[in-house]
Amino acid sequence: MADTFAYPKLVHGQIRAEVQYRASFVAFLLAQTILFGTDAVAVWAVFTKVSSLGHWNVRQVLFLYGITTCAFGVADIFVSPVENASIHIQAGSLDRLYVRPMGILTQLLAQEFALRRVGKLLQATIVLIVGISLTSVHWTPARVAMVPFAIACGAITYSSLFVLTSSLSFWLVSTQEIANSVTYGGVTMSQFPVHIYGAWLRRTVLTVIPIASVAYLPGLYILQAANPLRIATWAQILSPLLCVPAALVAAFVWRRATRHYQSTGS
Amino acid sequence: MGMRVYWEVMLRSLRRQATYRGATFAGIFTNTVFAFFFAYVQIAVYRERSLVGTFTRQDALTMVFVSQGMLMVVHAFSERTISTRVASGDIATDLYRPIDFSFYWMADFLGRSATGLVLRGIPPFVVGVIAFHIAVPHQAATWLAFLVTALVAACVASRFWMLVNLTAFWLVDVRGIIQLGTAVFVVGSGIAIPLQYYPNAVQTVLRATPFAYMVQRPIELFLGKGSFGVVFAGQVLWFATLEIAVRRVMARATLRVVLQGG
Repeated sequence: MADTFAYPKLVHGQIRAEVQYRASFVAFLLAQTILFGTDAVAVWAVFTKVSSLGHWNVRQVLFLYGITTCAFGVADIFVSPVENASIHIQAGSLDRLYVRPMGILTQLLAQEFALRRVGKLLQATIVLIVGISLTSVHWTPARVAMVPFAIACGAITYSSLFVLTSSLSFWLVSTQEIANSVTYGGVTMSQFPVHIYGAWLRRTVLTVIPIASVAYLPGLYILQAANPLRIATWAQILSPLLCVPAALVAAFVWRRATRHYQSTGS
Repeated sequence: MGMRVYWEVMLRSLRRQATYRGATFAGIFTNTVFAFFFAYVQIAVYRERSLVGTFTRQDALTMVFVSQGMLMVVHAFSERTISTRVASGDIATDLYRPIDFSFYWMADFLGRSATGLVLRGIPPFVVGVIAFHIAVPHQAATWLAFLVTALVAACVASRFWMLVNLTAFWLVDVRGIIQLGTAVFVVGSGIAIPLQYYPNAVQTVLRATPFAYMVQRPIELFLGKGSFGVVFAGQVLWFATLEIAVRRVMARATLRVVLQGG
């Protein structure tokens, strides 16, 4: 369990190093906030032209946006550094992580921890608060509880996707872009109600890659919004739990990947 | 040596870029997936109304796929070749070469743009034609107008990214600035959402920026909207403006270069 003790220390060191260059840090934090804000700008722009999209209004879509980007923001801060695995593999520097008495994943996550990624979460939280305050939701204790539950489970789902897609780089080279289409693509897609997408895309995110369970399905439950796919209430409530099998699969594949690794040998 | 050297630089950059087949395939996959997401959002919009600005449903879908295909022509995301070289010190070698620094990097950029147009532009377009019946221009003049303005768009983009990258002479870590540049680029060029979605006042401003001339306006020519002369003239104007800025910044930046021998 050395990892649990070392991780906070390593992260602390990273943060200290990061804030040394204050101007660069502030610029990057701001950039992260704004870059991801461009998605919100697109959502807003769409709703200047239409009053509803797939029978959801702008307030409901902003709520959806807030949930999914908050979940993504958390995963991005803590788990997205795993993406550097492919860089380490190509550079041959992954070997170094193997000789240390610590988990490969822990090392990767600690080494590249970056506080500036908080910008994304900041932006997402603002949109979520705006979304929540604008929508006329009939709040019950269960619906209130669903908000943090969905965000926490969503963060686990996105984290699993980061780990899973990064595992692929142990077998294939240059998979980063494909990984992006699952992780960044997932968050982009789930900013809108899933029923506006084509049948095969819908099926994929409702079952295989559980992106719909991050915001859309819990959103249906909280907002009581139009539900043209007729998804049952129990499925809406339980859907965030899909993060459990997602995490298990990710852990299994990551294990296989790190054990499969054979250095370049040079 | 004349222009020949820049041509050769461009060809080599083109060839180098075309070598990475795996990365190209992965890139095509990602651009196409994103195009699908955006396409369905457009379809949902056009269920509510038949026109947005002057764009029909088919125009909007065409713009989605063509703009995804143009990402690697204008390098919309995180172009950081020069700043990386500044950080590593390699820039000293670049400045040492007996050719124009600014045009040298433009040649390198254009080589990658050309590869981007063919390898990353055509596949998503074909998928769009098959999956969403997007518009295929019938007239040769339309294709020509698009290709010419796409090329000039790459030139303008190379000036913009060079300017952004040159901040590396002053900042230790330019990633933030580059991300800011990306954010402005993505919104202003119509990649995030076509410009006609914005309120009129915002749209007027955005359409005048160099970013609109890099993606949205060439695509409008592709759709048979707008005049080639206007777009081309605007592009040339922006190119000249940015080129002057690049030269000014370069003159100051080179004063800051300290060569450490050894």
